[in-house]
Amino acid sequence: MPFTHTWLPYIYLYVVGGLLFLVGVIVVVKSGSLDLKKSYHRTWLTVLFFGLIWFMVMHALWNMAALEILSLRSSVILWLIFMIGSLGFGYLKFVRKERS
Amino acid sequence: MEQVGEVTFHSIGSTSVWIVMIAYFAVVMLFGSYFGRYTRSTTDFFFGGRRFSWWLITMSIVATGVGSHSFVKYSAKGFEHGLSSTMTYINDWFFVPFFLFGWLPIVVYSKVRSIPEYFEKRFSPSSRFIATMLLLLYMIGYIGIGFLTLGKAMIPLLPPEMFGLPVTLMSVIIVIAVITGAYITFGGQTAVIFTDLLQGFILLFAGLLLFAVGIGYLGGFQTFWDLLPMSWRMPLANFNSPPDFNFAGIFWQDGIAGSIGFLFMNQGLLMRFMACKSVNEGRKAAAINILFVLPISAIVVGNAGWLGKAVSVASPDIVNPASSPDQIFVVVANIILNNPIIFGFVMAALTAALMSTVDTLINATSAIFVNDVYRPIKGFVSKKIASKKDTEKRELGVARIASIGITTLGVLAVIPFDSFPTVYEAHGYFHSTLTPPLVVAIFLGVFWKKFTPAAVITTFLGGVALMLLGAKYPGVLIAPFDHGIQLNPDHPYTYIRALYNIIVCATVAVLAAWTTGLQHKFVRWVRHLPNTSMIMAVLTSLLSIIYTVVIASFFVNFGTVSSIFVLIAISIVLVPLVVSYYVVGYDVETHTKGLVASSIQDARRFFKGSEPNDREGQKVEVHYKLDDSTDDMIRFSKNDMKAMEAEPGDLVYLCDKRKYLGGLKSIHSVYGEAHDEDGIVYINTDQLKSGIFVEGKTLIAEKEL
Repeated sequence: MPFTHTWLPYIYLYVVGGLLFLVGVIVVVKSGSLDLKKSYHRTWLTVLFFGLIWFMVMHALWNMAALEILSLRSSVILWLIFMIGSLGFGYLKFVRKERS
Repeated sequence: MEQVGEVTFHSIGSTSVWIVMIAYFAVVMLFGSYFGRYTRSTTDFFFGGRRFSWWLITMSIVATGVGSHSFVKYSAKGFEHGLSSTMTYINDWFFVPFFLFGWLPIVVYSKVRSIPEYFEKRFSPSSRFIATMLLLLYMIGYIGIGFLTLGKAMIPLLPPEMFGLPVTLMSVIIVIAVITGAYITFGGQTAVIFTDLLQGFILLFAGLLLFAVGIGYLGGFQTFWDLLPMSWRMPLANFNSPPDFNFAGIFWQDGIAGSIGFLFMNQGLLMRFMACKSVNEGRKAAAINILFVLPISAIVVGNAGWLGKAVSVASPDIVNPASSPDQIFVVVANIILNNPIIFGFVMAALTAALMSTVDTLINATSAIFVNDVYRPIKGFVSKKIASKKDTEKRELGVARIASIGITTLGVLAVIPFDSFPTVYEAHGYFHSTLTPPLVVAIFLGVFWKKFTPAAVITTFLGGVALMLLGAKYPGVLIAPFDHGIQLNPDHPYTYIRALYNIIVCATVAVLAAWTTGLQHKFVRWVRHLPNTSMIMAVLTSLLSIIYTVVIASFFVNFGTVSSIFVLIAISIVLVPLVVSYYVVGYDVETHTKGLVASSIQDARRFFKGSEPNDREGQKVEVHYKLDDSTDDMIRFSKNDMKAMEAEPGDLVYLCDKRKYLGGLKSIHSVYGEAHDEDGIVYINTDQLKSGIFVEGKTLIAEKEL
């Protein structure tokens, strides 16, 4: 498999897309639309970065399974650990915030 | 099943399939009509009364995104190229910050009802007019894609001949167009949301059912995975080949132009978000949709193609590897489901969602025509004031005629789209060609205060002219941006042209905005000359000649790329000068207040009518009591107001406590003066009717702003 089909699209996607994403975050923070003084806006900032990592991890594990760097089973297990871990962590934070 | 030639299919649909499909259509229409009774005003009709919870809107968006043409086009690419057909569903996150904290709050708080209306408020009526024309072209193109997909989905179900006449793609599309006209959307946006909610669940269920049954058919997921060649298992396509499906082109066409187009320009999608009970609820709906629902949708819409490929590897006699990609969904569903009732159900879900999407688009386009073309022209031509009843009657007639005209144009749009090998490529070409000028204009309008009416009109005219030049000479102008993608002479740079188109539009936009000071200097200078009007008339005529020559050069072979480029460059200098001269009364502060990302606070003030109250309070549970007030206020106890951190005059949302209703029984109102009965809210009979509250049921109140 040529590099143009293995990791180049992944790198391009998250370098160019990631730059656009960062510019977006900077623009909305600087404009005051995303107001980091508000607690629920800070939560939104976390969600925004979580979303980027979510897709990066998903694509990376998928790539590794396709290229047989990891077995299909290992990739799925790692993905489930990441998904359950991050969603569980988010839920616990939400519950703690609700209680306080 | 009869196979015609080697690759296309006919007569897959048996009588049972057709009966199931007709029954499904009837049930969906009845379901929609039931929820039509929740429509009580024009706000309800167009925006569902701004009352719904995020989960309800998230699911109703599924039918907007998945239901349109996705099953056919992604199955086709899944069959041709494997799992990388999912990449267009998993690359939308990059623009989410811009959408959640830029466009969404502006659209909701500024109360704009359509994208052209935003252009008038933010720029000028002339900007609105050009934006309307481009948007109409975009929507008619979208309708054409919808018809093409419907035709391609229906052809395999029909016999090669009916009533002695050959069944062709165009004849099927014409019949579908007539039926679509009769497929009435009952009761406005609330009915559409609930119909789409039902269809969203059914589409996800139907797609996942097909995948699960298909995996079982092949002998398990590992077998399916092992049957796919390694390159077919990759989540992203090869970087720059083949020309009909490559990563770099699709990233710019879909990940950039498509994502901004979908989030910022899709009127149907925006209306869904506007139907959310608050901006924050809209953000949740968008985030959950992109994070979780779209990856699932990617499996739902593409899996028939992957299964088709796996079956064609294992048993080429069952699925011919040379099957028509656009028919693969129907072929695989028929083979794998192997039951006319289940197959009929899946086909009905697909076609009903497609028809619903096309129908919604025709209605939305006709609404834009009446609102943004007919009314301004009528107002300009005739100053006579008619009664409201007469006006509504006349406009309804215009809307009906417009719907017929739009449907006809949509059918005609199928002709150029059908020249592409698959719906996917037709849609990709359409998106990369029509979205960039509007995408750049909306994007800079929202995030750049210095973007002026002169700059936006120059973007539209100069940008489109350079796009036409690029389309005429792709080997010269688009090639420098091609990332190594080969030029296909039949359909040159189907996807990567989006990058060229975005760059030329953005460059023109930035140049025109940066030279605003010089344009104003010119206008001041020319106004002092004795023959100002004549000079401006000459410049305007010159511009008309230049654009006539540029458009003619696209259709007829004359001039060279450099000579036409020089003409366009001259026009890019002249357009902002002419616009700056004629568009008077544009004031940066007034025209950007509440309409750009840096003035969201102004938009919130405008929405509320006073200073927003951002103190974080709690939700309270209450029961309603009726009073005989006639104002739009509702009254809580002092303690409840304190718990909500609310003051009289703040905005409040009152909703039935039962979460599964998703906000269907709810109202927005304003806090009135407090009383002393804790746990009681006083509302009037109109509010009771609007909220459809049930006596004895607990309500939840929360401060909105």
